[in-house]
Amino acid sequence: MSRARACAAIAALLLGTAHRVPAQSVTAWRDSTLALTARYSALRDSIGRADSTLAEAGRRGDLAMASTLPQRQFAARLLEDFAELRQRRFGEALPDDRGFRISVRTFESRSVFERFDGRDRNPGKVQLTGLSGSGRDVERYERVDRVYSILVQAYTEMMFESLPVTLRKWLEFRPPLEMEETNRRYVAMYSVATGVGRAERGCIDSHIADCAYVLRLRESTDSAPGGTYPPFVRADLLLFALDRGGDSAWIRFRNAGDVLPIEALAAASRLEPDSLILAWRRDILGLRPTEGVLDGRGLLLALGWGALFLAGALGVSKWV
Amino acid sequence: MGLIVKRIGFAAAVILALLLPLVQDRTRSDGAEFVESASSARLGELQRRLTSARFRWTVLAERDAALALAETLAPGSAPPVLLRGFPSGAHSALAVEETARWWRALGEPAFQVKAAMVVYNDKAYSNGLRNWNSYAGTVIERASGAVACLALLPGTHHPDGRVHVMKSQVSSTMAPCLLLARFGLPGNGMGSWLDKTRWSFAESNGWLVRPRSFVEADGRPPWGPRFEALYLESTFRGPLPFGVYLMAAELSPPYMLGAPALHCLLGDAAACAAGVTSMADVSSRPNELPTDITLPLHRWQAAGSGILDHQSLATWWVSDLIRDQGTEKFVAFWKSDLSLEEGFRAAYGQGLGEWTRDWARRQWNAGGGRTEPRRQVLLGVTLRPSWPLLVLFWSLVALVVASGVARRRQVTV
Repeated sequence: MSRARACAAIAALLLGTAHRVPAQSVTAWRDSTLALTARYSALRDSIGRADSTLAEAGRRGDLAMASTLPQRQFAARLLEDFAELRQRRFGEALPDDRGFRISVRTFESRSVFERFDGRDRNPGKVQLTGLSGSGRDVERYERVDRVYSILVQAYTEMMFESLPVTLRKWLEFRPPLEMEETNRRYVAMYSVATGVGRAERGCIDSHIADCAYVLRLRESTDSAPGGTYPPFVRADLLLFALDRGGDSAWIRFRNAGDVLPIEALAAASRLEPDSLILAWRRDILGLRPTEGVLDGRGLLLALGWGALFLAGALGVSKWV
Repeated sequence: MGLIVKRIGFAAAVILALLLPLVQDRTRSDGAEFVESASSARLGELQRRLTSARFRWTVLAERDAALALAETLAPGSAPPVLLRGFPSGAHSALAVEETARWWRALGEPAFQVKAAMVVYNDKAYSNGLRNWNSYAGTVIERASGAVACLALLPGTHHPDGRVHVMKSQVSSTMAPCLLLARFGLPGNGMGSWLDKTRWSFAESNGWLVRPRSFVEADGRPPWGPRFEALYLESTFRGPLPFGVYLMAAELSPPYMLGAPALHCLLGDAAACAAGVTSMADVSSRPNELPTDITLPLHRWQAAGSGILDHQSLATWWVSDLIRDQGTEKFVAFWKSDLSLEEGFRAAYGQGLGEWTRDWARRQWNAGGGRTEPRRQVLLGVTLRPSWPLLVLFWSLVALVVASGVARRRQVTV
């Protein structure tokens, strides 16, 4: 009897759980969505903050760097590098009077086998704060070996956004400060030296008016001057002007107000507009390679090795 | 004995050399621990459940609202664009223009359909989070006297009053309504296939505006690949140097289309027919959603990722059939109460498989994007006949030159 009851109970249980009841109710799904949204938001925010695990890794001037414990030494080095770059390019300028905060959740490179398993490898967090950090707030999620790049990009982006509209329109994009300087300058030189427009060639031939036109600093009097340089080259001019201007150059550039870009650049560099353009032109064209691709030594080496291989190939048939 | 030991040792070394690169490096050389981030996994799981719940909430709420709206529509008139849940003053020029454009392209509707384009406020369902997979589809209600067809799509409200909608979604959600307005209710054969497949293969309005010679979707494959070659390429680019994976992907048969599609492209008409009819059979995935709405493919199709599984048919199959064979024969096919295959033969005088094979080959041969394998590669030997001949010829030349040089340089003692 008891066995029959047990079987009946199991059967009832199976019948009761075999089919899910279709949920066609709007209200039920709305409630479910709202409950899940709340849980999702709470979890996401807790992951994003994770402030309690952060410890200060270093402080320099108005900058402070914090990180999770395993990343502390790395974060301290980052702070040194970042502070140096910031001092050179922006001086003491901040993107916001109330400061800023850049948080980067980090992970290490994952192999192809681990890429889709939804896990982070050695997760951590690095947080750079300026002043009170209550002004601009940026959050990123990136591989640990790219954190320096991300810090520089985020900071430059904020500084770019703090510029007056006229200067932002002229630049179009933030300066690519995360690039290694030699590479950046060579890319700019390549753009300048290989331009084929009439004004672009004119600039190479020392026509200052053409240079001003292709840098979008002045209008051209030519009826068909051709194209202008890409934003990358204009960013190079700005960085050149900041270098020439020395201390507080960025502040002078930004505080020039809603003036023509050439005036803001002149203020930053403390040079006359035409002098600045000429100096930049001389500098960038000075990077052009002066030697041919193949020098005499290389030629001799190639011929020597070629002859050696030929002699070997012919000689080997003696033993075949 | 010593030789045998050496040979075994050499074989073991070779096997080790082959297997070593396959061992996963779970720990770093400096002893750093592999840490699992349970939080990320939990977040992903919550997001999946949230997306699913939100999708159902949206579908059910908007479907009920649309059916209530259907009562107010006049049969046969041009579909109005109705904005739901937006502040007053909101407007969507794109939705109005696109809806009117498609209705104009249809001409005078042959059947009285109560049609409308309903744009709902996507943000009403967001609860402060970014929306994932908002529902865009069509409600087809046949219970009452006149057929009601309401296209539903999400819109985003901008501060200046504009409501942004996706142009492609206006077109795809209108597609069932345009077919119903031109051809009326389908017969049992076609109707059953369309309902089971949730109208997923009748999403194109190309039959209204495009010439017969036009190839849809830039020659994308006639069956949807399970994964993208480019996606895999980027995944495997790291460990395989010199573009080895890309080369292998381009030279390998397109298995991602599934074996039935490969057979079809190689000329097997039965496989081609099965590739169409089987779409109704794989629609067994329970979704607990009303049957009078169309659904995106991934919401109803049973998950089949094996090489022997049927993959999804192109969404423009119905449209291409009309464009290729004309509307007169299509009406007979559409209205047929026979099974899909029998109805096709009765209307067109040829098998469903034969036509689909020609269509699929045309679609396949028209492609050639970098994200797909090479078009010439299907199955079997892919060498052109001239290649082995050329290899033999050049080998012979090399042998003659080498032996000639050796003979001249021979030293006799």
